[in-house]
Amino acid sequence: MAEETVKRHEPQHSVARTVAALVGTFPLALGAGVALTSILPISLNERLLLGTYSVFPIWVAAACWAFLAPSGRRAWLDLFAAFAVLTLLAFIGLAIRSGMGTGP
Amino acid sequence: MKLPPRSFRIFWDVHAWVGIIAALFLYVMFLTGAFALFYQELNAWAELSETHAARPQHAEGLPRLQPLFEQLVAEHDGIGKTRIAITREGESMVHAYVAHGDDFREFRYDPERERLEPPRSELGTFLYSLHYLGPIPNGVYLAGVASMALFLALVTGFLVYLKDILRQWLQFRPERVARTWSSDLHKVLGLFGLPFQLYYAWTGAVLCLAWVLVEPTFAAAVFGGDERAHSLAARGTEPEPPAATGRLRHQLPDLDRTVAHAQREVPGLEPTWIGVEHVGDEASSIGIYGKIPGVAFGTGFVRFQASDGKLLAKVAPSDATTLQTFEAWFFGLHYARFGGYGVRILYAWLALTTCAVILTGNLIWLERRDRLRIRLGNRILERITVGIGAGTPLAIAAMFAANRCLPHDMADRAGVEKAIFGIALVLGILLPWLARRAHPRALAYELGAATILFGYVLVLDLTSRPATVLGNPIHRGVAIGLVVLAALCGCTATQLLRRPSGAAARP
Repeated sequence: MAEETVKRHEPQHSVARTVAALVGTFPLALGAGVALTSILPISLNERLLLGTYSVFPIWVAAACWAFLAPSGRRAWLDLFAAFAVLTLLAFIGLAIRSGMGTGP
Repeated sequence: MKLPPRSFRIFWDVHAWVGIIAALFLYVMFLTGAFALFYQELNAWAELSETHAARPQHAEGLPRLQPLFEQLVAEHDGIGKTRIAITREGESMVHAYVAHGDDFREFRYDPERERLEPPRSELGTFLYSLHYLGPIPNGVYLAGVASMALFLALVTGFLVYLKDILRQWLQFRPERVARTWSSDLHKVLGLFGLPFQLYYAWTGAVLCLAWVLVEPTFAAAVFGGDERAHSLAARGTEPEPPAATGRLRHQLPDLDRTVAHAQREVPGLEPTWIGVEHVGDEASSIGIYGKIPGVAFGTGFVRFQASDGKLLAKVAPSDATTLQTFEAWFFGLHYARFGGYGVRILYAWLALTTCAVILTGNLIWLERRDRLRIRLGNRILERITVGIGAGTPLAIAAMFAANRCLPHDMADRAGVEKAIFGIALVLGILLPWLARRAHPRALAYELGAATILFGYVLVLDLTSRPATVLGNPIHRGVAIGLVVLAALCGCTATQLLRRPSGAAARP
């Protein structure tokens, strides 16, 4: 009976997905924070506030999202895709501001 | 709102696993956090000085800073030291420290002798450092990771219980078996304390990890690695005081005049921290940080060049950036820098209820997954939970008792107090391993011992110095705190002994 209880609650997670959700999402959250700081149409100080302080809430949301991925491979692929998009956004935002001569 | 079965199962497992891994670190952080809210008061109480008790320092105003600064420079070879700082937090407590590399020495102001003396106890400071796992090597990072784990566990737990949140919120069935009553208590206290716990998870993660993970990333990615530009954009000030040149001038600034200068620059500033950087160096500077009464979470900061008093940096609420105003609120709420003792007592109560949420979480894990403790891992988890869960309050109680029992003029008294805390904690952790099964009785016995120790300290204080306990607000407050702690430990121990077990309990 007790053995049965133990088995019924055996977790069904893959290591790859768990690592993706717990570790891989942190660079994504940092990337999202930097992207917010780069692209939002508000003052630099306010962008820094939103970007810096949103990192940990974004990490939690991203971790929940990654845990729901159908597999570890899919979780990592989605993470890389999202990170690439955010990096591109950050790059474009910074390039536009640099081109306008307004600094970051 | 009901989650799809797969999402529910995944979030359930994430909540359970993340919780179980971080639980005991978080338990220590929240338990000592309740004490950290009053660490200045505990330090003053623990000094055992009759003069501290009989004459609160604020009764005759704050002491002049310059004689204290010159005392530290003269007695501790201050010229060339990285920093000498005097703090006046809590209005009635004057402390100081001398820092040079890894060497850090703390001092307390003795109003009777009108000079700084080495502390006879570090009870408050030690419990505060445990709040961020400071005594463990790299503990602050561990505390940050534990805060992130708490954040994830809270969000996944909320999602899991969302389907019938109102019923879960108000349902407590103490007559049922451990699995049921612990689950009810976990959910009731968890949901009531959710905003508090979420806020501490977020601010804890930021405090412990942002400066090492987030800020450098932003400086690198947004400012091309220019940390100074990042700091100027974020907070409008130079990030660091000027670096030492190595050329010593042997000329000391006048701190009292500098404080007066700071108060002219930032009207209303009440300095709580006055630090001299690179003492005696030609690039030495003086930083003055303080609060501004009447402004919500109002703080100000001024930095002067020590040699000529030139203003190097100034931050006042009127010219604070949006980010600085946000941070004043964000961290001010974490440190309970508002609402006085009422808010601090409420925070302490919420911290203690969070401890109950954490321990019942571990109990739910054990009762749901392995009621008979068939697995070795679960047997170990049960013993560690009982050991840390009861051993930490026992160790804190032992430290309080040691503070009152050790000779007043004992060498390294503060170190011995900490050693007694460590020994009591180790004993508390080992006790559950002596029995064949870590029964809740072990938890009850340890909490019973903590009750006796807290009660003993209270009785000792009341009988040996009744005038002090009744006359001094700090001692009176600690006495009330001891009554509450003894009652909490005693009631919990009694309830644990009365719990129905096995077939006697309703399923």
